[in-house]
Formats: sequence, C-alpha cells, structure tokens
Amino acid sequence: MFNLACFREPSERLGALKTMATNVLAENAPAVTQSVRPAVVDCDVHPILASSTALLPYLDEYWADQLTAALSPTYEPNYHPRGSAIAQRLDATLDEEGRAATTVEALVKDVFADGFTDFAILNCLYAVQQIHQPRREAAHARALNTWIAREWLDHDPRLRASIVVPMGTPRAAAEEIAYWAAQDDRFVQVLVLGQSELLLGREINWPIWEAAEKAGLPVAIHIGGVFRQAPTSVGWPTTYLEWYVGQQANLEAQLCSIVSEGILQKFPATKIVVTEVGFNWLPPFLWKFDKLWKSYRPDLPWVDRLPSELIREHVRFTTAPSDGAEEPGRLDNIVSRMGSDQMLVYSSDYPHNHHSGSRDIEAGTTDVGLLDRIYRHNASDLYNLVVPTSSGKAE
Amino acid sequence: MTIIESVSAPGTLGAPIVDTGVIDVDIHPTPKEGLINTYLPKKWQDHVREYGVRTTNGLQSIGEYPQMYGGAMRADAWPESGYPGSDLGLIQEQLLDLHNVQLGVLQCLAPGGQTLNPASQALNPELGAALCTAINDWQLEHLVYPEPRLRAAIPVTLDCPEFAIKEIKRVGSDPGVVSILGLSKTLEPLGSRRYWPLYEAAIEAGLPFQFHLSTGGGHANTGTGWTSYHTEYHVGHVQSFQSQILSLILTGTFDRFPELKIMFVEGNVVHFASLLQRLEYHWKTLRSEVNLQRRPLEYIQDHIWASTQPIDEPDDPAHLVEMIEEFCADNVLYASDYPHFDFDSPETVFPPSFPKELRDKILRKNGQQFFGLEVTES
Repeated sequence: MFNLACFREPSERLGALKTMATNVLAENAPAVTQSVRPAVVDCDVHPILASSTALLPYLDEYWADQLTAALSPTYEPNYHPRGSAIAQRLDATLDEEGRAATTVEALVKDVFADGFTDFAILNCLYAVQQIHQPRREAAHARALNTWIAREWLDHDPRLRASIVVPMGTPRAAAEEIAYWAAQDDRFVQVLVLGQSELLLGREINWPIWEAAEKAGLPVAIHIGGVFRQAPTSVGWPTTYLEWYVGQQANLEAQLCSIVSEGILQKFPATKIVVTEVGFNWLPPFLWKFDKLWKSYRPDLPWVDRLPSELIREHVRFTTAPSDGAEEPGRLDNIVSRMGSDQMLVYSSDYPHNHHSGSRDIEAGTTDVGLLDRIYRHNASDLYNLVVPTSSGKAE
Repeated sequence: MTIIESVSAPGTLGAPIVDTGVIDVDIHPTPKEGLINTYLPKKWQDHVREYGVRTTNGLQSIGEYPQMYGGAMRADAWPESGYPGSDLGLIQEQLLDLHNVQLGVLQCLAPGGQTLNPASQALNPELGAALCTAINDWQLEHLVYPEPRLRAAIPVTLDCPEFAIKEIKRVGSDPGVVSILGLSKTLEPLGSRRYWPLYEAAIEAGLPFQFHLSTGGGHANTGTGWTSYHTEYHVGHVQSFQSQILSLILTGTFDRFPELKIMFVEGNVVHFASLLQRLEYHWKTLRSEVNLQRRPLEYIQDHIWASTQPIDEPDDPAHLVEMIEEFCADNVLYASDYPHFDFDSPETVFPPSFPKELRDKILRKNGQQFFGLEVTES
C-alpha cells in the first residue's frame, strides 16, 4: 500500500555504523570540511497525533477495520496532561481546536522561528506502547512511523525523526528499526520510553539494542511509560507532578540495568539519549553506582570499567527541561559534577511548556565552548548532521 | 517469657547524654537464634513453626536478593556464636567504646536472618504486630536497659496502621524508645492518606520516624520492573527513597502534620538535593495541581533528614560539601551501619578537606536537634 518510490535511497548504514563505532569518543568527531559545520539540532520536539483516524490510510485493511469497529480509540498519552500548563507554550501556533504541534506547518513555524535551529528531531509520543495487544501495537507503530514520514518528514527537509517501536515485543521492535533503517535515513534514532515492562537491559530486550547498533542509530529513552505496573517501587503516585518529576528514578534504573547487563560490551557502538528527564540527577547516581560496582566486582565481571566511564562515553542527555540549570553558575556546576562537557545535547521539548525557555540555560554557564558543544558538536557526534557554512545562519 | 518489667516502668532510664561523643543513627542488632520466639504468645509460636512468616516473596526464609558475601557483615563482627549484632559486648567494644558513640539508635530488621524482610512486613498483620511487639520488648530488655547508650527505633506494622498505632501507644513512651522504624519499601507511597493516622499517633507520642532501606513492600524493586543483579538491586534503593520524598511533599502531608519529622536511613544524601531542585523547578509550572503551603525546598529544614552511610563519594570531595549544603547542612546525620560490611567509621568517613564545623554538625549537633536532646557544647 505504500508508494515506495517516494522513499529515499537506502543509506550507507554499514558506513554509518563504522563511523559511529570509531567515533564513540567525541574527540574523534567526523572531520568537518570547510564548506560545512555541525548543525544546531533540536533533539526533542513532539508532533501530536490528535486522532487515531489519521492512521487509517497507513493501516492495512484488517487493522483499519479493527480500529474503526472499536470507534477509533486514540492512545493519547497523559505524560503532559492536555489542559495543564506543561502541555503547550503560550506562544505556540495553534490549530482550530486550540492545540499546538498537530500540523507540520504549525510545528515548523514555531520550532525554526529562532533562525538558529538547523534540524529538529521528531519524537512522537502517541502511546502505541500502551496497547496491550502485541500485534496491534506493532501494526500501529508501523502506521505511526509511516504517518511521520508522509505527513511530517516529507514536508520539510529540516525535520528528522525517531522510530517508534512496539516495546512489548522486542523482536517486532527490531524489525521496525531494520525496516526504516533500510529505506529512510531521515529516521535518525530509535525511541523507547523510560518505564518499560522489563528493564531495558534485560536479555529479552536485546533485539532492540542489536538492531539499533546494526542500523547505526542512537536510542532515545524518553519520559513516558508502558504502565504495566506501578511507576514507582512503592506504588502509585497521587499526583501528576509526582509522576513527572519522579521518572528520573526510572531512568536511573534503566541506565543501571543497561550497564549491569553488559549492553555496552555486547553492543559497543550503542549510543543512548536520555530525553526530557533532566540531567542534574546524573552525578549522584554515578557516584553511587561506581561505589557499589567497586564493592561487588564479581557480580558484574563483564563490566570492566567504572560505570561512570561507560555512561560518560555512551549516554547523552537533552537539555529541556533544564530543572533549573539556568541559575547563574548552575549549569557549570552540574557539568563539573558530571565530569564531561560532551553529555548534553540541546532540545526545546516543543511544544511543552517549562518554567524557563530552552535557551535560557545559557545563563547557567560562562563557558562559550560548552554552549557550542551543547548546541552543535555533541549532537553532531550522534547524528552527523551538518549544514553548509554559506547558509547564512548565525555561527 | 513474659513482657518485660522494664517496659512497664518507664522513667527508669534518663535521656541520652551526648556531649563530646557521636550520635550514630543506624546500628543493626540481631536477636540470638530462637530468642524472639520466646517473646511471642504460644499461638504465634505455633503459627510461625507451621507456616513461617509469609511476605511478598515466595521464599521460605530469605529475601529476593540474598546478600552476596557473608550476610553483608563485617568479617570481624561475628561473635563466637550467633550473628553479628547479637552480642552486646562486641557492639560495645567495636562500636560504642572504640568510636565514642554516646547515642546509638537500633534499627532491628530481624527476625529476617540474612534477609531484609523484617517483622513489620509479614502479610498477616496480626502476626506482624506480634513480631514487632516481641522485637521491641526484646531490644529494650536485652540491649537498651543494659546499655543506655543504645536506644530503640521501634518497628511497627506500617501497612496496618491500626496495629502500628497500638504499638506506638503501648511502648512509645518508654524512654528507651527514640523513634519509630519504618521501611523504604511500602505498599503505597508515604504521602498516602493510608498512613496519616500513623503520623498523627507519632506526633502525639513525640516520636520522629526513621525509614530504613528495605526490600519487599509489594511492588517490583524499581518502577520499571525487577532488577537482575545485586549491584542494580543495591543502587536502586535510592530510587525508592526518591519516590517517598516526592510523595510526602506533594500530597501535602507536611502541611497537614507540621510537626512530622522523617529521617531516611541508608538512602544516601546528595541525590535528594538534585531531586528537590528538579521538583522545585517543575512545581513552578504545575503548582496549581498540588496547592502546597510552602515551596517544595522549604519542607526540608523542618521535616526531612538523611543519614550519611554509605557516604557519597564524588571524585572531587568539594562536591560532597556543596551538595550537602544544597540539601540542608542541618539535616544530615552520621550513621555507621554497624555491623555491615559497608560500615562507615566516624573518624575516616569524611574526606580530609571536609569542614570541621559541618563534621561536628553531622556527628553530633544535628542528631541532638533531631532527637530533642539537651544541647551541651563540646
């Protein structure tokens, strides 16, 4: 049912993988020729699927019938409650229903309005992962990715996207990654959620890591969840704010699992982008993890280096929300505690609304070089996105 | 054996005296084998013999993550017979005398043996209550009254507030009791109204809470499923504490109970600073949901304490001091975790550059304030 002619040529995925493997250390970033520079990449923007009926053209007959017969339930996540202050910025371009980011025109207009952003990565949070029926989850993930390609990526060359995968069936998730990697290099990343049914490092989830590495794609772990169990280890939180802020705990659990289970040894080109969960919490977590790794060396014999070293090498964090890093000196402080200026990549988290603007983090540092890493180089190490220096964009 | 005379004679023990010494908020005693049984009514002795103590795992007598080495005990802390922490003489020699501990608070996680599944987590609340009573009578008789430098945190059936309140009323006024022992893993987050009657009773009894690291509770040990390896399991404890602190603040529990004092034990310190900065930031956007009377960070000073062991070890020791101050330098207390392998000694736990004034606060002054002791200048 797809018009394959409109897809781009298969990209040199093997080449990309090799590049990635040799460039795990950011010092070895790809050589930038005189005619191009690393792009400013907004690593987290959210297109919104307002109604599941928009997927009908991209579902086969069986799944389209199933959707229609069920009165088209829309798995809109409540990760950003629609009426609350976090849902959308006050200055966002709205559709007729008063919603932001439901059309490519509105999103592109707002995201690139600053004349600074060169590329934006679409992380669609439509919650296929919360569909319990595994075959339906996989079919809807395929339809959603096709919708992203046709109705978003095709409309603006500055857009890139993450592949939404059916997390409930890792084998199917791997197939989804391979499917898009083979035909559309505008999909530059894999998207999974911070709360999974089984920790992401578990062997049952290895097909996802294997496929991502093979495709040369980073894996974004974004705030959100499959809600198969309580989202904390002590039961269900009472408030949304508690859930949202508290998801950092699940990201700690995921990073701990990924390192402990040996993902970074088994799939050494793996890159992870912790997205929309803050980053101020990382240093205490690294100190705790390092200390216990030293105590329990025989528990994880394959983890042959300090967990903090592995995490500094393989994991990146998006900058929005800042969790307050724009306070004078705070960003410098956090980066000093992280022990690396290569871990932060810029994001706006459009259209979500936070207490500070996405570029306000500049007030948290006096280090221009750090900002250059955050805006350009760190993302370039992940996605190899460049723009011509003659584009007239501000350097 | 009967309920102990000393328990029914409160007042025979003076308040702890701390002048130049150390306050240690986390010491683990273990009853000698079979001893707790003698404090149980016959009905429960029979029950335990026949059915054991059922908790939220399916194992006969261990927890879901058995300790990796030697019960996680200090190798030198094993007495000639029995478990580490079961010999008062050794506790005195290796801890109280050697490190000048003038107030040591007992965190009895037994009778789980090598597990951290303690009495208060028995699924049968009547049994849990009987076990908590037995432990409290045992620790007062065998440890606190013979050695008044030791004082008791009393385990209670947290997830059955009715019996927990009974136990607080029964034994909470004994001068040997200085706090109520809760566990980090609960059925619901600690801000849940389920626990509010318990907080009311604690305040009435004038007792603070100590919530010690634990397993169990009724959920997977992370909010995203069970961990595989012991390292992950152990790192993951701080995540439970994070969930608890958010719940306590955001449910308005501290607004409802302005006198409620909560200490988190063995849950690290500096991660709370980052977490609460994050909370403060997002509260600014979403405050309409929760209607708090104060900014989130303002609740720390009056309500939330954290103990140091296992001490956070950043590469740069200056970061430790900075982040303790970001949390609240008045609300951090020293803990040894004797007799466990990751014991922190008061002499060596702080890096050499650690400010003396802050060290004194953590070793002594903050504890004097937390336990409401007379403050004597050293």
